[in-house]
Amino acid sequence: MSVWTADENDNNNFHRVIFFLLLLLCLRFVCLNCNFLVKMLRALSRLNVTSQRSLFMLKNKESNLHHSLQSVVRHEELSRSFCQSQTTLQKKMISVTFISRDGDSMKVNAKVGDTFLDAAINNDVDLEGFGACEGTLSCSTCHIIFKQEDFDKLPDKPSDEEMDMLDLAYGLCDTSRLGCQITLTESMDGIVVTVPAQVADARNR
Amino acid sequence: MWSRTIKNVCTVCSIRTVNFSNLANKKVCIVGSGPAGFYTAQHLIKNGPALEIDMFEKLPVPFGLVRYGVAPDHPDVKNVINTFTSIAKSGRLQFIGNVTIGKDVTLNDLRSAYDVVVLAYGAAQDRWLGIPGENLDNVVSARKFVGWYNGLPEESNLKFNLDVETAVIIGQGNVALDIARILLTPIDLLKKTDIAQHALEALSRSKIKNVKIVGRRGPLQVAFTIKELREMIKLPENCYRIHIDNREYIEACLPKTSRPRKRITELMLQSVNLKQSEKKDPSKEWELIFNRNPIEIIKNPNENKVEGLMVGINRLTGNDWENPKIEDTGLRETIPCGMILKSIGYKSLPLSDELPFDHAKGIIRQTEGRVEGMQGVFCSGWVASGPVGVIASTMQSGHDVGKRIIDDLKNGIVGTGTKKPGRDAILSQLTARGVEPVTFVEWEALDNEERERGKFQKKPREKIVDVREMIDIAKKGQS
Repeated sequence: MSVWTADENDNNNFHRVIFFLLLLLCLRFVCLNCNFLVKMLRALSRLNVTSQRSLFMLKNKESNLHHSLQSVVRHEELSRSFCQSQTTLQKKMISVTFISRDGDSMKVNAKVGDTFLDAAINNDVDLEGFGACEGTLSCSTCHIIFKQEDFDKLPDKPSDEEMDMLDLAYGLCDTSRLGCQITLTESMDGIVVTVPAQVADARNR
Repeated sequence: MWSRTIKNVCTVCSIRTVNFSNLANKKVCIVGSGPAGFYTAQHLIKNGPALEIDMFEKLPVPFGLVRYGVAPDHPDVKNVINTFTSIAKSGRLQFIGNVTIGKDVTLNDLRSAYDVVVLAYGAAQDRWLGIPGENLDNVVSARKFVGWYNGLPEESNLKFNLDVETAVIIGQGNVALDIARILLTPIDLLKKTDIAQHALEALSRSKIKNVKIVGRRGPLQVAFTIKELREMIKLPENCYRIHIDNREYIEACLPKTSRPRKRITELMLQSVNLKQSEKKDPSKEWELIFNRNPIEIIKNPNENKVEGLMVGINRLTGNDWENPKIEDTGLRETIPCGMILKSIGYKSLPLSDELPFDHAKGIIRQTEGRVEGMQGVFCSGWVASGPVGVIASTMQSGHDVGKRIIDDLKNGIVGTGTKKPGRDAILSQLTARGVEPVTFVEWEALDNEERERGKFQKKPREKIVDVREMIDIAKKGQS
C-alpha cells in the first residue's frame, strides 16, 4: 500500500484529486443504496488541515471497498453502514455530537430509535475501541458523559446491570451512562456527549 | 465548497507527506494474538497506512485469553472476537500461527527482520504461595484449571480429583469467582456453553458440594467485581454465606469510598442477611471467608493428598482502607477440604535471556511501552503492566503503545537504518526448521469445524484441544 506522496507541483495533486472524485462518482452509480459513499463525500467537504488523518482513512476505505463489499455480511460494523434499507429515509433523523478525549467534535445524523452506540457505529465515528462487546453490557467501552441538564431529561434510569458495568469505567461521574443502553428520541436533537478515555482497572476502586 | 475542498487536500498532501513517508513500508511484528496484540494492531493499521504488520502466535488459534481465559458462560465478553476478525481480515495484517517465539524463532531473528517488534504475549505462568504442602496432589493452579475447562491444549490432561466434598479457592478476584461458578453451576446450564467436552464430563461426575473462597484481606479489599458477585448470589441450586464479622467498621468506611466500591460492599452487606429459604432445594453452597492467611496445606497422614488448609487470622488496621496494614493475630484455624485452587495471580516469563525483566513482578522492564535498552522493541498488555485488568484496560494499553510506535517511527527514532526483510526472512527460516505456520484463513476452516461439531451437542462450538488435530483440520479444511 503506497503512501499518498505529494508532488512538488500542485497541478499533479489537482489532477489526482479530480480523478479520485470521478472514481467516487462512478462507484456511487454502482452502489445506489450505499450511503457510505455519500458520507465520504460529506466528510471531504468538511476536511481541514488538522484532520488529515481522515484523508488516509478515506484512501484505505477506497482500496478496501471491493473487499469490504464482498464481506458485508460477515463484518457487522460495515454491514450496518452499507446495508441500510430504503426506510432509513423515512425514519426521523436527529443530530448527535460526540466529543472525543482528544477534543475532536464529531457531529452525525442518527436515527430516532437507535442507541448512541448504533449512531457511533453507523456513522463510522472515529472513536477507537468504542462498543467492544457490541452492546451486550459486558464492557464499559461505550461510556459517555452527558451535560447535567441532558442527563436529567433521560427517560430511563440505569438498570443494576448497567450500573455494574459503569462501575468499571474510567472517569466515572454522576452524569455517566453506557451508550448502548440509551435510545435516541426526537427531543435529543442537537445533543452533545463526551467520550472519556478508556483506562480502567476495577481493582483500583 | 469544492474549490475549498481541493485547496485543503493539496495543502494536506504537501504538509503531511514528510512524516508519513517515514512509515512507508516499515515492517512491524507483534508477538501474541490476544487483546493486547490486536488492539495494538488496530491502532497501527489506522494511523500507519503504509506499515506491514505481522502477528505471531504460539498456538494454531488466535485470540489468547479471550478464547482461553473468559469463562464459557460469559459469551458476550467474547464479542470482541468480531472486531479482531475484522482486523485480521482487513488486508493490513498477516496472522502467523503455530510459531513459538523463543523456540522456532528467536527475538534476535525478529529484530533483524523487522523495524519494530511488539511483545504482547501476556502472562502464562503462576505465582506461588510459597507454603508447605503446595506440591501435594489436588493443589491446583487456578490458571491451569481455567485453561483446562476452556480447552487449552497444554492443560487438557491436568490431573486433579473432583471426588471431594469441599474445595477451597485461595484468592478473591474474578478468576476465583469464575472457578467457583463453574464448579457449582448446574450441569444442564454448562452443557449449552462452549466449555471443553472433557471438562463437562468431569464436572458432571463432580462430588463438590461446598466451595469456600478465602482471602487474606477483608470485604473492602475484594478484587472481584460486582457483576460476578451478583451472578454468584443468583446461582441456581446454591445457597451461600458471606462471613462478615466487622460490620460496623465497614459501614463507617463506606462514605469514604468510591461509588463502585460502595455498591459492591453494600451488596455483600445486604446479602449476608438474605434468607436462604428463597432458594429452592439448594444442593450446594459457597462461602466468602475473609481475613485468613494461608500458612500450610495439611496432608492426609496416609495418602499424598490434601486434607485441609491451615490459616492464620488477620486483623486489618490503619486509616487507609485501600491499603490497610495486615497484622497476624496469632490465631490459627484449619479449614477441612479435599481440593485447593490457588487463584493469586499470573506471571510472565522472559522470551529470551537478553530481555530486561523484573523477575519479582514478572513483567518486562519498560517505560511507556518501550523496552529498556532495546531499540525498536515495545511491549503492551499484561506482559508490560502485570496481569491485572479487564479487556478494556488492555485495549487502552494496546492503543497507547501503538501511538508511541507511530510517533517513534515518524520522528525517526526507530525504523532508520538498512531496509528490513520482514516476514519473508522469518517464513524461510520456519520452513527450514520444519515448522508449519497457520494462516488466518486456515484458522477459519478450524473455526467452522468447531462450530459444526458444536451443533451436534447444541453448543456454540466444540473446542478442539489437540494441537496436531488443530493443524490437520486447518490445513485440510476438514476433519
